[in-house]
Formats: sequence, C-alpha cells, structure tokens
Amino acid sequence: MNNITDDEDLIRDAAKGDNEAFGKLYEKYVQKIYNYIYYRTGNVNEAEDLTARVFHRSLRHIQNYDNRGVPFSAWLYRIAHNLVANWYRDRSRKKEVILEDHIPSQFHFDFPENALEINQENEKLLFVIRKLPSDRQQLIILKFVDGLSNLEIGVIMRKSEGAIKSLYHRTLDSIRKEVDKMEGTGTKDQKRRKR
Amino acid sequence: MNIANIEKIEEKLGRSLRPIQPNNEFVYRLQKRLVPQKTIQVEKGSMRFAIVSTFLGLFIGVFIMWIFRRFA
Repeated sequence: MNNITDDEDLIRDAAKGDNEAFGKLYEKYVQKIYNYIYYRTGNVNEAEDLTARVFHRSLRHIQNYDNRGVPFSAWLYRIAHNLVANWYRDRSRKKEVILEDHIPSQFHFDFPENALEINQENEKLLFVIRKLPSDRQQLIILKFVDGLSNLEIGVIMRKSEGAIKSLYHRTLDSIRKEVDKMEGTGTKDQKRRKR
Repeated sequence: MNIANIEKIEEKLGRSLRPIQPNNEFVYRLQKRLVPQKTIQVEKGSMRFAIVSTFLGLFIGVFIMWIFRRFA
C-alpha cells in the first residue's frame, strides 16, 4: 500500500472524469482485489462478478473518495469486504446447497500433477480458513496473499497495528486447532488436559 | 501456542495462499466496460456523390455563362 502520492494524481483526474486515469488505477489493483474476493468466496465466477462490482462501484463514487490518510487501495478492499459480506448474507437467505462446501473447490495453483497430497492439505486448510469469522479471513488473506504488513492491514480494517498482531496470533491458533481436529490428532497439550 | 506451531501453520498458509492471476479475458473485458475507448470516426467518401456534384457544378456554371452571354 505504497505510492499514495502516485494514486492521488490519478484519483484527482479520475474524479474529474478522466477515464484513462481510472483505467490505470484499475490495472494497478485488479489482481489484488480479485485475489481477496477469490479466496473469500472460493469460486472463480463469483470472484469475477464481485470484482467487477467493486470497480463499478468505485468508479461511481470516486468523487466521494476522501483521502484522509486512507489509501485508495484500502477503500477498494473495504468495498470488496462489504460486497463479500452481502454475498454471504444473500447466499444464506437463499438456502442453496452450495457444491463448493461439499466438493473440494478447484484452485489454480501451480502444483505438479503428482502433488495430490499437497492439494489435499491445501483444500483442508482453505476449508478451515473459510470457516473463520470474516474479519479473521480478511486478515489472513491480506497478510498471505497480498503480503500486507500489520500496519497496512490495520488501516484497511480500522484497527491498530497492535490489535492486528493480537488478532493474527489468535487466528493462527484457531486455524491450528481446527486443522488438528480435522486430522484427528491433538497436540500433546490437549491430550494432557483431557487426562 | 509455541513458536514452532506458529511457524508450522504460517508455513502451510504461505504454501496454500498464493496470489493467482485472474483470467486475462475477464480483466480485459472489464477494463473495456469501465473505460470505454475513445473512437475517431472517419467518414467514408462516396464516389457517386462526388461525380454527381462535379457535373452538377459544371452544368450550373455553364448555365450561368449562357445567361450572361444572352442578356449581356
């Protein structure tokens, strides 16, 4: 989330109706936003649809964007987060049976064909991540997929750097416990406590 | 949770959560919708119109000259 001043010029021009300026912002952030939505939804079609909505919405409201130390990318991530939340809410209302929940989703990882074991591990981990509360999912994806620092994540999530660090450790702990549960193994600590 | 466990989970997450490339066609199509290209339209000339207007101009010119000679 750097080059805030570079974005400022583009945003100013885009707000005046310069489509080319907005196009440059789009090129800069489309992959990051797509990645965030893809890992939140686990579905290519939904990721494309929601990514399109993020950029259409940001284009409509770019005149209202006010940079008070909040980078443009943070604004886009917040729009994406809200749209994903709406998507989950609408999905739960429809009470559809989502195949992705029952069938491991296909991810476009560049794994060799014989790395079945690695794929199964990934599927398990991604399933666990998607069970987390939305703020923890957001944190994990921003950290590992987009490579953002705790400070940058804090700006997006409107939390302090310390709060993000604390949330991060709690999230890792949750993930570890869920993974252990799925694998049917417990840590030595858990086994000791049960005695 | 000890450091070894944290590192193990972080390692797994790092392996699983890699950036992926969206479909190029999707990125291109969306860009076209968001940022319509400015087009310059070049009018195609009509040969028939050019010939007719030339002969019409010549005819009018000859007609005007004839009127001047007749009444001058």
